[in-house]
Amino acid sequence: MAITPRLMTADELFNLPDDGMRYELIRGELRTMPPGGGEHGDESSIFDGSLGMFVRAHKLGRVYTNETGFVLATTPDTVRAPDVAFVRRDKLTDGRSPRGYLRVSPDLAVEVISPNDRYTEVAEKIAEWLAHGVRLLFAVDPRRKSVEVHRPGQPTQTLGLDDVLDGEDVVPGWTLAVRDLFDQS
Amino acid sequence: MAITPKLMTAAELADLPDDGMRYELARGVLLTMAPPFDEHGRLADRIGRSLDHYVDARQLGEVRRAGVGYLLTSRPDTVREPDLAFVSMAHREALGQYRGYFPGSPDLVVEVVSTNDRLTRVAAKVAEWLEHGAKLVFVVNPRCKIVDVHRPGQPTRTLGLDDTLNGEDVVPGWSMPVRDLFDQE
Repeated sequence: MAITPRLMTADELFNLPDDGMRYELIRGELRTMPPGGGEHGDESSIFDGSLGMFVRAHKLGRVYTNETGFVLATTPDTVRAPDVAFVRRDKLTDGRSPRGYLRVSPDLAVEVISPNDRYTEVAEKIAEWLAHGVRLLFAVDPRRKSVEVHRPGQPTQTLGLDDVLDGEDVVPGWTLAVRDLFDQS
Repeated sequence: MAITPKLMTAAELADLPDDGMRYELARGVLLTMAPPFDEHGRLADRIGRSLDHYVDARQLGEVRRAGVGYLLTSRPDTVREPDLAFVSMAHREALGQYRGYFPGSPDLVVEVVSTNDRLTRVAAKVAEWLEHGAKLVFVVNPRCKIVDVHRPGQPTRTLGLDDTLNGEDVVPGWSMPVRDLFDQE
């Protein structure tokens, strides 16, 4: 007899007690991820500093870190949490963040790759972001000190230490040298 | 006291008894990989059979299956094994006689990603192939039914079911619809 697991909803996920783990919901199925290592947090906070400051200064919208949840699909629910996300101001009601998960897609997302992340799962996550409205996605690989730049329907560029991240038409005018992302010591 | 592990050489690797596992050598460090699932071999073989027909009829070079090692660095030694490879006639002739593992990278490399493969490890392996002479690397992702096409110094293209694999200047004129790769069951 096949057993159909009961699917979890975004609201149930939101109400889970905080046990230090990170969770995502993929078509109603709970996925557990261990918290990222120190290196992981370093890159996220550099993005928060550089991108966050630029976005605040120019009142472009909001930058989210600490794996804020975004509802990408409903019934069954999919909730994904990027390491860093930028949402344009006009997509937020009164320019403010809602209580609970965001029901809009980020315009820009950053995923910092951990050594244990599985290739197929990251590829699936990136494809999902791009299919749900993310226009620019940076996949940061601390081990190789490189950043992959993904855009919907376009080839993926790999940037090294001598290259510069660019907000393009998503965060016009914002740039960050890849070297500054990795060489903080 | 720091312990320096003794590094293994390519000759020692070749001497290991066959225990059904797959091994690679990364700068002298032995990596063990579990034998892949059935689907893994089948996907590589589909590309292999399509290439076989095309390459043999035109005498363009050799299509090589898994089980063959490629010596990418010496002292410490790196020996990698792709799921499928192609070496052009010109490349093979330029090498002349050699003993042991094939020196350097094949011209075309196909890697099929398993569910457990870590992204950082796959990315490092692709970078290694390109650095040591591969002109074209296909990374087949069965879970997302996509193929990432890597070329040295160029953006990575992601091909979906409606796209076509192309031999470009490495196997000129050869092509295979991505749909034929995944949708044969």
